[in-house]
Amino acid sequence: MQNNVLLQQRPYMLSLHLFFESITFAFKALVQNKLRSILSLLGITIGIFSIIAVFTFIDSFQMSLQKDVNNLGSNVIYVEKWPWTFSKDYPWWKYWDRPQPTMNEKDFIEKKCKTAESVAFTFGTNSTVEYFNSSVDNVSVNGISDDYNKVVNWVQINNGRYFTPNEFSSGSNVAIIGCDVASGLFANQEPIGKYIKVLGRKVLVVAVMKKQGESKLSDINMDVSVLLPANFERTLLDMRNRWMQKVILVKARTGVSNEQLISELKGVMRSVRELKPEQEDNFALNESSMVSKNFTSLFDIVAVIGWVIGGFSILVGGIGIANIMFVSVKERTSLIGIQKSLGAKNYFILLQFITEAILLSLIGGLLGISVDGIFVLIGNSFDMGLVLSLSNIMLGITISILIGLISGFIPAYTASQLDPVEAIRSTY
Amino acid sequence: MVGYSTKRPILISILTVMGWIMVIFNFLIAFSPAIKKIGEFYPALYSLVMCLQFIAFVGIWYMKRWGLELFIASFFARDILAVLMGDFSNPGGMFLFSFTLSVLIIIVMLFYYKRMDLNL
Repeated sequence: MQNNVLLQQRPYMLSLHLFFESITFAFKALVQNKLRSILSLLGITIGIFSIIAVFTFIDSFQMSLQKDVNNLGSNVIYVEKWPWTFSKDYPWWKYWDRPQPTMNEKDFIEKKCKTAESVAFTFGTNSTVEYFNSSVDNVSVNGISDDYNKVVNWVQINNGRYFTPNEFSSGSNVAIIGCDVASGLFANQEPIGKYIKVLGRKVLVVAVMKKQGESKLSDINMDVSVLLPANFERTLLDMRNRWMQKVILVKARTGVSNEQLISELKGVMRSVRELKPEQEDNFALNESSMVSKNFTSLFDIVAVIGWVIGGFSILVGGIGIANIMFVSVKERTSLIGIQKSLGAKNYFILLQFITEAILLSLIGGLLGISVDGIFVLIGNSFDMGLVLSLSNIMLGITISILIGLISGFIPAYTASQLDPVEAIRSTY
Repeated sequence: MVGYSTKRPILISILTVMGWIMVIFNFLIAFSPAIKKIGEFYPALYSLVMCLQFIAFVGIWYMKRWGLELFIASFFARDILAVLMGDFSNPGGMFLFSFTLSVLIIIVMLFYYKRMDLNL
């Protein structure tokens, strides 16, 4: 009695009371028909799982790609023989006879290019690295010039120091090694100060790099690489070998766009190679965005496939919920009649069935998101770096609620429009 | 019951069925990667508007005035949202089709507005 007076005095309390009553009704209905509820929410679970799984995978991969782009340097231009294009009609025969970049060209760029902040030169080969009885195969052995660590972000020293200017200029036999090389050669020993055998020569280890993982953008893996001063490594390799990859890396000054740098660099390179105006460029100016663009188009296709599969699952799930709601309304027709004859308003009946549909769909959606969460945990145990973001969770919940609303509205509205006398008479 | 119920003209039936199909497709498009790229919360807002349009069509099916009123409100809401977010990237002619159909529905429904039921 006291409750009723309170509800009459405060209309918002009444709305709240009706809302909670609708939820209670909905819960009771779902619990009474467990198997039916589970089967009908399965479609939504699969749909939400598919959509959110694809978005999670793509978001995580894009984040990792962005990290790789940052490592490669978004404002770094790579002067090379081969361009980074991945089209079907790659005219490799045009690039075959191009000359490789040289150390002299790097020095020329350093002098002439006003938009460049720092310039570095690198070349390398793959070899086995040894320390007494231990060895690590297929290690990338790279010769680098002095500003290399200023141009790229992947020379991250964990223990030790970078090469000194004197070591660079004199070509000292010193090395910076990747963490996997260090653990492969020196299981429980300190690598700094030890001599390892690289390309048949003894080299002193002066630093070990941090663990960085494999890059998705390029074949660079600093964990299994050894860095040597360029002037030292050039004495160990045949620099005329046309299979050896040589690269000049040019970093733009702050406030200089890649387009500006490329434009100037093109002129400088044409000038150093003495190309006539009618001659084509015999060098490629590559940037990290060229690789990431190719990945982005691939992700777009994957995202569309995931969305189509998830979309149809959600559609089927929604139809399933609508069907189950129609059955629910039919089963409870006489109950609706009694409720209405006792004074229940149309909106209360409407709210009651809509709440039931939303609840059903929401449970399905939450299950789908939970399955995604489990997959993310499993994936991360294999070091896949997946992230189930809050925005994707919110998206999943929103889709579930709206699917529940759409699929439950027609049955709920039909129920709310029932004539109380006709409804009580129903003998379903 | 206050008010009166009206027999639904065949034209409204056809337009409503077409409208439902349009809304379902637009609802699925709301979660497409292309729409997600426009803004983090855009799919949620876009699908909410689509949801309102679906409910509006239920009202129109039952010849209720609130159905048409809700449809007009959601039509403007969708277009304002699209302009604010700079979304003119709907795939193919879907955007143009749904825009034309929506305008057609509004014009036709306005002729029948006075014959529609006032109640919920």
